[in-house]
Amino acid sequence: MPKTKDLFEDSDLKTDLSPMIDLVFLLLIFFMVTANLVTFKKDPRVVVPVASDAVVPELVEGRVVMNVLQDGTIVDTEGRELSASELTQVMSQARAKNAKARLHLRADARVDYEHIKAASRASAEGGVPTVIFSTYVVE
Amino acid sequence: MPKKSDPFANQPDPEPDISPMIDVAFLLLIYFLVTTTLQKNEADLSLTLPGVSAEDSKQVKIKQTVIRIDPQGVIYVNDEVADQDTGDRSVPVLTDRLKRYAASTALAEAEPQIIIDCDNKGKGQRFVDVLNACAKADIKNITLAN
Repeated sequence: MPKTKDLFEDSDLKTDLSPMIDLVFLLLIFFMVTANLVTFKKDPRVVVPVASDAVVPELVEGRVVMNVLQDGTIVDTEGRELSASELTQVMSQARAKNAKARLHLRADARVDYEHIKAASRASAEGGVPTVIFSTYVVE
Repeated sequence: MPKKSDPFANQPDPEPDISPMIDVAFLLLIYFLVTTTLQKNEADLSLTLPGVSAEDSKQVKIKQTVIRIDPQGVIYVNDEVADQDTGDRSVPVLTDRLKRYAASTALAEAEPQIIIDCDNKGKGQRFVDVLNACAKADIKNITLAN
């Protein structure tokens, strides 16, 4: 009976790495694509409310993102504080540039409603009646 | 003159070393895995304020329902108490009433319309709870009262 090592004398065993590379690239591309969906800066001070029936956005185009902090301050994505009249101005400029402009309001869950109303009204006065409220789907 | 023989004839086939490429791919993969799981995804609850309507929009019969939210977060529908439990975000009574309201307006071939009258000191979360209930009942005509 031949010895085991004699049986495999000539075979040069090598693992085929190409399927693994395929899989790694596939995962890599998936995460690169999903990471690009978020195209605006989120102010970490804002904790948005929870709404189970909210829909995950598909288009970010035409959105003017504004944060409403817990104390009612309106802050844009660059961190600049805006008054209601300045927000109206920003919204009318956005509408002049893009007819489909919408206000994306990241209002804090703990903010008083009067500040949400003020921001919505400022947007409507600037000619942009569509307000999108940012929410978490789950807590 | 005799032909020159191939000097590489007895050499094994050259193979590229792909392990550094796998290293880089894994490094990038781990980087994106970590960065994408750090932030929670945000979703949309859309609201179109009235007052600006397209010129060619047709006139529709409208039946209105007023939802009032008091500073404590208690919800009233047409001045009747609907949801008193301010900790319950699902607002079951309001959701049920809105669904029935939407169904009745559909039968009457009218457009449902909601007026949300939230107290200035009401919280953003409670307002969004009501918007969420409207989204559940598929009601899109929402007005904010002054």
